[in-house]
Amino acid sequence: MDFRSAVLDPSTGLALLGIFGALWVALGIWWGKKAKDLEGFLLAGRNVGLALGSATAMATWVTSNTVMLAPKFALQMGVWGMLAYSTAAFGLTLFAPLAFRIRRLMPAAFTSGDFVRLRYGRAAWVVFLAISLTYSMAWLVSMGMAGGKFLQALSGMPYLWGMTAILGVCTLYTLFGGLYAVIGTDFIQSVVILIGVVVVGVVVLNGVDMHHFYAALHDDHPALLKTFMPVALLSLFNNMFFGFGEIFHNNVWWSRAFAMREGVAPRAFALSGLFWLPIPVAAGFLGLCAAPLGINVPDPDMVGPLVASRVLGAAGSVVVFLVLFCSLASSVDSLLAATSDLLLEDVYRKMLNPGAGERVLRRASTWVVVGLGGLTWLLCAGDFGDLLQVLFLSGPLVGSAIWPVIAGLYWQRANRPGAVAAMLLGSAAGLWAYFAIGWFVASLIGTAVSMATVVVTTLAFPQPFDWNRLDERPAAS
Amino acid sequence: MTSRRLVAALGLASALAAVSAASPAVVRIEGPRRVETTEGHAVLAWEVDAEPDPARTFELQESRSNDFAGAERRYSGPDLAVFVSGLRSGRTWFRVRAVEGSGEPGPWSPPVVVAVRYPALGRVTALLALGSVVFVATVGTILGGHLATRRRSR
Repeated sequence: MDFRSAVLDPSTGLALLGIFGALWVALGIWWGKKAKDLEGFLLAGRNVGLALGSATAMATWVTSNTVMLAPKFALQMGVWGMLAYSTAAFGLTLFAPLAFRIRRLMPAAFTSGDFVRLRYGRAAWVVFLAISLTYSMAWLVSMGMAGGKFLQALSGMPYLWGMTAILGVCTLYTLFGGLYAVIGTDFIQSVVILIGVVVVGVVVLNGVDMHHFYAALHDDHPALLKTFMPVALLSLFNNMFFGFGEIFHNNVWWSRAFAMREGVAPRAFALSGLFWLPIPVAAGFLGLCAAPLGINVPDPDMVGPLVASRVLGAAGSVVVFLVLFCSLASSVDSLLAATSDLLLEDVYRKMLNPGAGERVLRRASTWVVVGLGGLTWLLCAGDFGDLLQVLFLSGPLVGSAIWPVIAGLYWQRANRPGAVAAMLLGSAAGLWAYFAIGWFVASLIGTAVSMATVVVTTLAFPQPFDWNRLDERPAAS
Repeated sequence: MTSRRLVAALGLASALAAVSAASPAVVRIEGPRRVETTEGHAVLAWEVDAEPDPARTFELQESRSNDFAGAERRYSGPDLAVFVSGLRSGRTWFRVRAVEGSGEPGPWSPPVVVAVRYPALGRVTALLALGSVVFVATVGTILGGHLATRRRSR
């Protein structure tokens, strides 16, 4: 496919990558000195405040998908598509009350896997880990591949170089600094992302004549202006439940809830949802501007960066480069850290080496981070297809975990077989819907079937649960 | 060189020049001749049966009828693909041709039809109702549980 976006000079791209990469690694090493023990490394000493907490949640949720997919959704589905993407903000906001409950029930826990193991037992735990690790790897690999492709499209850098640089930098500073480094760099990255999105949005808005905007959309994309756009309307709910599933189940968000100071997490998640909400709207607007600005879009995946760099010229390409680099890094580091925690705590400590002491675990955590970074690099190096499709396929899987999580947190009679059946039946139904109907209903169907299963099994086979079993502190046991 | 050979050589050279000047590139839209979609969008990419030429551009036409009556120009430029979205329900035909640097157009490609069939109103309404129920139940369970947690913690 011929793609002629305005590109940066490769040497400028390399220089930007070198400067910011070195900055993140240096900050990672510096912040890493704060991590005196395993809890410090994995959960930043459980002492993260409101500003850093809000920024890390917001920055982690601004992925390269936000910058790329929101404009693509707008180009494919109009204003409804743009709004559909922004519904993912509700997941962050709704995680605020969940975080309050999680901190209250499990003040000493490390991972989301801990909750499922203690609440529902081993069978549910294994199913949950399979879902979570599948989703996390798909997200991680899609980010790594996106990094290589964005750098290639914007600066002409070879795919393998860009992908290796992004993954290498994130692995290094996560390795040295753990969650301290991830949260600290997320704060800076969130500021860069917010400034970049505002600058691009204002310049593009000033460059578009609104009368011409409407006429161009009417001529070139008539159905995008319709109020009843079936796929777009369905994707509102689908995207929302995909977002709920991603946030409610994944250790990226649970580890942040555990890492924040008492009382901080609910406010931090509520604020991060508010900050995040306008970002896909601003990014999505770029997609709608392509036709009015007379920009041909050969590849819908690249419409956002294409419009921004075309309108802003070389300076715009630098801004887009920085926003994309920060979006990628803030998500890749969080995923590396949280997935490593899950592998270390739930697989290594709980399954393989239950007697491991602090030093052994600290050493193991190093190998887990390096191994995960290496595995991601290997999968990305293959460049074997459209991994965004794999990520979308995981939508029904994570959607099926929503109700086992919320019922497990709030309903005392939610039971083990019900949780297992909900995850399995919800995943199966959602995957069927993906292929039989379309991607735009897969998460919705998966969540609906999972919800029905949890409700019916809880009513039919209630099993009272002692909430104190979720607190693993020695004094409580 | 004899005069006969000279005439033959000149004839061959002029014939070659005429062929290269008089044969604009032939273009073909990649993929099947009929594309079906429930989402109203498609990528139309084409291949060119000629050496790359930076001066060459392409013209993409669209029409609601297969004889291209009342056809409109959808794209004109150097790219080898166009993403079309927001298409109306029903069939839309597309064809493309090369326009050489001299301004001379090539032949139109065989047309490709994009058939848009949006999901039926009844099915969409049922799925939207299902989404509303799941959304209200999910938010209600979380907020209800949160209020109960706060009440108990006082």
